Amino acid sequence: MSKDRAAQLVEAGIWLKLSGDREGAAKLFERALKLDPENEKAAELSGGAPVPGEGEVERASGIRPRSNSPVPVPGAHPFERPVDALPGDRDRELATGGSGVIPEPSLDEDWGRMTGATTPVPQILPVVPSNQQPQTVSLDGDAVLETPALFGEPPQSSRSGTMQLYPDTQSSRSGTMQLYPDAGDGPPTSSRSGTMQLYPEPSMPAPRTTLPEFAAVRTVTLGHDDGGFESPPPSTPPLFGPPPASPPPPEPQTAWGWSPSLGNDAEPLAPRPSPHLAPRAESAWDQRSNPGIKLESVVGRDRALELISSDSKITRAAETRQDEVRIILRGARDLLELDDHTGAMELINKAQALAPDDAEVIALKERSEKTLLTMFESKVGRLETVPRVLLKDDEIIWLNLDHRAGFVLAQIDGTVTFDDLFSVSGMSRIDTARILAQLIDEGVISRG
Amino acid sequence: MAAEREPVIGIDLGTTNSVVATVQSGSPVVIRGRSGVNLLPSVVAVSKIGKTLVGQIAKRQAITNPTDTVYASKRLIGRKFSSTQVQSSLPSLPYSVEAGDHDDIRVKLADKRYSLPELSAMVLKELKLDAEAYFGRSVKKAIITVPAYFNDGQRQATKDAGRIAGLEVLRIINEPTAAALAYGFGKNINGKIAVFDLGGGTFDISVLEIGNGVFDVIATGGDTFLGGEDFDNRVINWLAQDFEREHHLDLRKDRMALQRLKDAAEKAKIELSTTRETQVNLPFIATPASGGSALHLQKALSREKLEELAADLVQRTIEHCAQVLDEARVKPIDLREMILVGGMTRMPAVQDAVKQYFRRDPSKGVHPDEVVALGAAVQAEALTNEASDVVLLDVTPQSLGVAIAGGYVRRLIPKNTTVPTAVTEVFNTSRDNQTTVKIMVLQGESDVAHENELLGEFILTGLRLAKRGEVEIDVIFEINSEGLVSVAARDRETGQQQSIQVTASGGLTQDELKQILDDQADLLLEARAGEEVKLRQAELDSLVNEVNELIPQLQKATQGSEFGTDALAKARAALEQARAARASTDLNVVTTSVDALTRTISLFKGVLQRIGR
Repeated sequence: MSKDRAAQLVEAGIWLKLSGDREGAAKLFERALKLDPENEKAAELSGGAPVPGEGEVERASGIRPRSNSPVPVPGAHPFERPVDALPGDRDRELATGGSGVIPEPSLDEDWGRMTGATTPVPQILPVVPSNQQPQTVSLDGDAVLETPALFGEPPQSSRSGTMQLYPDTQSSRSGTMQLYPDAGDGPPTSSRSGTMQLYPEPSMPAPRTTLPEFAAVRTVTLGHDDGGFESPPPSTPPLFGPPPASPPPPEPQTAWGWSPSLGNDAEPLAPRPSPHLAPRAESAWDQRSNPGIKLESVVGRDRALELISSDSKITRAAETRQDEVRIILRGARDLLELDDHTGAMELINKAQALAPDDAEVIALKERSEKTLLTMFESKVGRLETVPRVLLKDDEIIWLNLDHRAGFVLAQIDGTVTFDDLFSVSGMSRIDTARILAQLIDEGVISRG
Repeated sequence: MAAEREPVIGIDLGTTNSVVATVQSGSPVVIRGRSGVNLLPSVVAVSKIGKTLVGQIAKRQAITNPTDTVYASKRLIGRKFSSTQVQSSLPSLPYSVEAGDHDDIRVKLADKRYSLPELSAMVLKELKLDAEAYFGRSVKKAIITVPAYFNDGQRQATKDAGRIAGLEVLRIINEPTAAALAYGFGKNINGKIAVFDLGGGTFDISVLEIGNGVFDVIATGGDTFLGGEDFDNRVINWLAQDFEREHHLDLRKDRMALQRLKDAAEKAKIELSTTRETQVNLPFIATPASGGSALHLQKALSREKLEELAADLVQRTIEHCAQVLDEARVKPIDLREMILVGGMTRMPAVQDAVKQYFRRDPSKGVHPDEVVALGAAVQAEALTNEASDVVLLDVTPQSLGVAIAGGYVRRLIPKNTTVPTAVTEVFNTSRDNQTTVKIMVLQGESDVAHENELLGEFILTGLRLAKRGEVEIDVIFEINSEGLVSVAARDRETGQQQSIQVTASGGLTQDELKQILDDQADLLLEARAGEEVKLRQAELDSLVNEVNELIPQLQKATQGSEFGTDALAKARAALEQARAARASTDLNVVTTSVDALTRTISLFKGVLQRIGR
């Protein structure tokens, strides 16, 4: 059991590290190592080895890796903390008035909301074999998305778990799923085709946090029949050759027809990302994040439900996602036990991104927020006190603040109380409290 | 010893800022707010954490919380939702405005709908509390000022606001009249004067004729969307555009940055009234969307630049002045005095423009932000002080009349007529064989019927068949001392009569007003009960600490005796009860626990005393 538990802790640690919380991750790796000293991954990662895909995430998300410069640099990110801080240090420091460095406030992306831009969020991309090259695919014909690399060469034969699109019913290859362009009673006589294939997990290390059981890979074959479709975009070369001229017709009872919402219009059948490649997809069949697959359009609602309940890899993927949430929550609980509430909140937020309506996630988040708020407010002191800025203007500009902390600081003019600041900040109470606690900790403002 | 006279206050309920004043030892003085400043921003908000905010604190979060912050509600008070003025204002209002049950206006804040009088009442209540802190006693009587162009409905709504705030509004007076009263306090002024009022959100220019103590507003005009905020916006745009050129980032799109820009722009503008140049420093104003370092805004603004940015705004005020003087058939040279009102008139460019147009120096010596409130205080003192030799008369603020053929108005009672009053005038039918006549009661100064406020209408029927002009109808207007307007129409031949009584409505019905007042009373009781609970909870905390300190002493003193064990068990039960009571908001529960702990402490102390410790 301890080995499993250690593995789970490593999983959670990878999540945390990918999201930028190296300190929280380090704690989990260390804990995993304690439980299972033979866990090589834990040993490797606790020694500072990069998490697979870590650099990619940072590059892809545009997020600068957290530096830990002890010297405040004008304009640098505020409240950075050292990597080697001990578990719970940040929260304890804030609660007890220690003078340690302060973690970055994880506030809402207000700037993003205002500008219409979104603050980059670390995105966990699936890892694929190194010989695969990135492919550009078009989503609904109007967006182009860089997907992780697909196989450069098609396999000689389809391996287990293959979802294939064939140009017509006469050319079906062996496979377990087939998607047809028409949702009629029988398979269409002709169609363009694409193949969605699910391959077993490659042997190279992959972040199990994203695709623990298998990597999703999709290949597309574009038909050139008389269906009136245009040629595919040049950016999506066919990975397979044309399907055989006369493949055996699929079994109507088990076939998965896919009418890719294009219906019969003339829009070219553009390659669609695998459900697993769709960022933030809640499940493989989440229509919001994966609009190309509509169960109702496959074989009707009843049939679709049957298919969902069947033991397919897709449904197992949804279950895996739930498992991921559970793993993350366990990691969060571990951090809570270690008094690292800030790190725990980051994990909880990750879990909430995967399962927004999960009652357990919501409950844990509420509990953690309450605890954090109490800690920050105890740091702030009496709320009816009027705080004062302890630094001069020319000292303030050398601080390491972000615009939110700058806003709160600008409101402190010797007339408003801490209580007033909660009202005027325009942020949630916990975010305001966090900033105030941090400003107090940095010696920027007086305590209540 | 004679009883101390009840305090009375004068309130300038402004569009942007409000001020309260009183007369002390014969001189009008402004009452400083509890926060130490004289001006209270007329802003009401419900913060994101659900707290109701009024004044400066509400203003400071106006941009970051625009949907739940109400400012410039004075532009809407007493108006009908369907009116052109309201409908044209709606697109520019960030808060949600809805129609009430009687075409009145409701504003949605958080999850609650408020009438305009309720919102204004929040501002008035703050001023009342400031005055009560100043006097150290309850304040109930007030005079409130309103713009000269306010009709009866708007005045009534302001009165309703005062009532909701717990004030007896002795009188509503015109702002320019109040300014003139303050300026003329202790002086004997006769002749025509102009009041140039450039406030935070509105500009009013009024011409008054003062003679034998009677203040007659003979013309008024202006722009309800021209004020200090427009000057601030020019500075904001200048700063933001310059920043955008440098950093490719529009600060106006970020609410936090915009709030800081606005505060800084206003501060810089004020400073430039007394200095030639000022620095705008806004560290950490924004973080680029792509991440990276927070950026600072540092820029110098000169008076010349500000004047250049706002030159057209100043020019607009002068254009309004020319228009109003033209309407009043007064030339600048005819004016005896020029009174400046409103903080924006401190700007040298505004003073220069006024001086150039009116060809005289504006009067100095009255504080432009405070002059209206001071005038209201002077009038309040005159009303309540029997020793005062000033006689004040209630007058009609606007003319009253009826609509006549062709879409025009026949005025029966001109504005500034002293009430009570009654007027009768004979009208004739305008068509052959006209058997009915519609009497439309209008208020306003326009000769065109539809440009006036319709106060009410009724139909007189049963007129005899006759050629046009042959049937004569008496129309009788009466205003009693309470301001109630009665209008009757009587057929001279038949004596048949119809009538209507017009009561000014501020949008709230009497029932609604009563309901609001009842709710206020309940809230007050709740608030008082809440304060009592807090006090008792604090007492409880203190007693818990005391018991916790005594327990070890008692344990040591009784050495595990039966009596000691029993006493300690009771004490622990009392502590347990206190823990539960601490979380309760029920006064009885908290009080019971306080009593139990008090008894425990008394018992412990008694035991310790007896055994000599």
